Amino acid sequence: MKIPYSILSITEKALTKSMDVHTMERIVKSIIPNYNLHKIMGFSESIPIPNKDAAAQILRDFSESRLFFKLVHALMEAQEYGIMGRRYPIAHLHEIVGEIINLGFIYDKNNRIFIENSKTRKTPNWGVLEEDEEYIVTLLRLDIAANTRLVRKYESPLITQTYNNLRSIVTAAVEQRNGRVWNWEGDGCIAAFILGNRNMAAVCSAIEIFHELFLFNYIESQLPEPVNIRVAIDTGYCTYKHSPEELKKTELVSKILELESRHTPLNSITITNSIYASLHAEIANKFTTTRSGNAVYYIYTIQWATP
Amino acid sequence: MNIIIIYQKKNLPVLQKAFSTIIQSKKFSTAFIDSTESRKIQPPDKNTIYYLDITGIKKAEIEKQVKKFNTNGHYFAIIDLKNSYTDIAWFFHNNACDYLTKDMLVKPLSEKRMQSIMKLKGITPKTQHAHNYILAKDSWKGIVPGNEYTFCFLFIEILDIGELKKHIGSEHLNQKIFSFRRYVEELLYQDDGRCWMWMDATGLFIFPFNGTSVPAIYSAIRLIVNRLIISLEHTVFNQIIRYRIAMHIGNTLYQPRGKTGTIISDCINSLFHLGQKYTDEDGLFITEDVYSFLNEKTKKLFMKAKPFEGRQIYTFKYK
Repeated sequence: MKIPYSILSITEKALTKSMDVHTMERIVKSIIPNYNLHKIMGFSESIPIPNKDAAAQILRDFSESRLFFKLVHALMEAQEYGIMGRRYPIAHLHEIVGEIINLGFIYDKNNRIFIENSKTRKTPNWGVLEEDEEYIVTLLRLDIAANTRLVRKYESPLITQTYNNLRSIVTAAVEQRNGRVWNWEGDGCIAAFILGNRNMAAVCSAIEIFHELFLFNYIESQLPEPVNIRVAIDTGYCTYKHSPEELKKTELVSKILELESRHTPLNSITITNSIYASLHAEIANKFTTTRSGNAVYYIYTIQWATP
Repeated sequence: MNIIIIYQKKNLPVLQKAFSTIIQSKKFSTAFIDSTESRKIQPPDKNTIYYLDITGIKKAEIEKQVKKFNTNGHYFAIIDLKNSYTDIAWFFHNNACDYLTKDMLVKPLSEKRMQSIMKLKGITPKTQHAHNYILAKDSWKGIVPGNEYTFCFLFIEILDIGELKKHIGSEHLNQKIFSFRRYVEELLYQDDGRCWMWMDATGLFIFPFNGTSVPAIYSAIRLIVNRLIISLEHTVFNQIIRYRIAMHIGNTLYQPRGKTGTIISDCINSLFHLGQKYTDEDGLFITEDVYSFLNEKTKKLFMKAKPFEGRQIYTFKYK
């Protein structure tokens, strides 16, 4: 995404007014380590570059959104935390951030990144994840139990309607917590969470999906039998791929598919140790420990207490 | 038994007079619904008879409505003030319970007539508190301060306030209650609910009653089953809260929020008693008045609990 000229222009002014060329270079090098302003502009190292020209050149090189957001983030850090012990008040910083928000992005304080505002648009990569780059992601895998039998047993419109309803339930629970459904196939889906307390968000989504499915099965569903599901949740490094097919080949996705198919009982949520460790005590108490070889998993089976 | 009269606007005075004995009877609950609002009729309630005023309606439209009653499993009867239908038997062949013409409505209808319809259709009389429902037209748009209307009431109270105060202090507790209240307000707003009163950790929400169903029941169920998630995600400070919900349908004088101090309502009194004195448990408790308007599937989610102040109470089976 190209950044509009008006925002680039304000940022150019901000750089010019707030720091010298040396500091500009230092900030830019924190994003692109081998960035050489003198070389790019054709000046020898001994010749000083005017502030305005340096800022203009940097903004030309950072006019693509991915880099531009990193530059703005670096400016915010320079103002808040400083560089080499000195804080730099950045002129027009509020205006710049305001313009970025107008473009449909919000600043995620926890992860210190600009992400798309989910009220404006929703893309699988939150508008910021880059192809082939590694991120810490929490994945939720949902499987519709006995999918093949259901599809063969009931007429297509009935199954389609039921699965569409299930899909709406899952999407609402995931997107409400700023997660994204990365891929939906006939028998289930994979959803991803990267923001905030992503492990809690994934577990809360899963619990909410079960509750909504309970009400759906009981009250709304036209299917003569309830739809049952299995959910597995794990976290770790995942190389982001735009293509769902490529995503499936990544290690974390393979791991979670195995966790769901081999270690998750019907109508249960299975989580790994790293997820369990970050849960609120009251939620963690709902899970029971189970062992498989050396691995420890935690399982929450939906049980309703009757008064 | 519930009797709902779907009227044509100009015939309302005649019908109110004709049904006056039934309205006053304690054996029946009656409600009048404008025919333009009748599309909202949903639940297949085996305890309700719909009297459809067909005066001035086209034949095709009448047949469509009769078909709809049969599809939904509703009992229905016909009011024809202009004697416009010659083939009256057609209605009875299509499961109508009764057929009233103008001559028959000169005098008020008798209770005996209704009882014989019940006997004919095998409807067993239930011991319930009869109500004359005063339905507001167009929900909140039709509600005028100073007038009496039928509302569905939802009482909600956060429990163990003393314990919470010990853990997080009174200032944080107030913030927690405020964030919870805001969440509940947003949730119930979707069902046309408004927060009418809020004192400390107790709130009363009201929903204009539509005479046929209680949509707010699903939000109440969600509040109960998602208690843990709501406590952590929608209220400040990571403390789990317990709460109880009580629901009832009844009439009260309406005054805007903040001007409710002078309202004396038996119905609100009794709801607060149910909410605060019934048991110490958390959960969802509804009166028989609410229960009777739930559809059959939803009714199965509730079980009978012990009666309170002469009313049968039902409780949500799950937590």
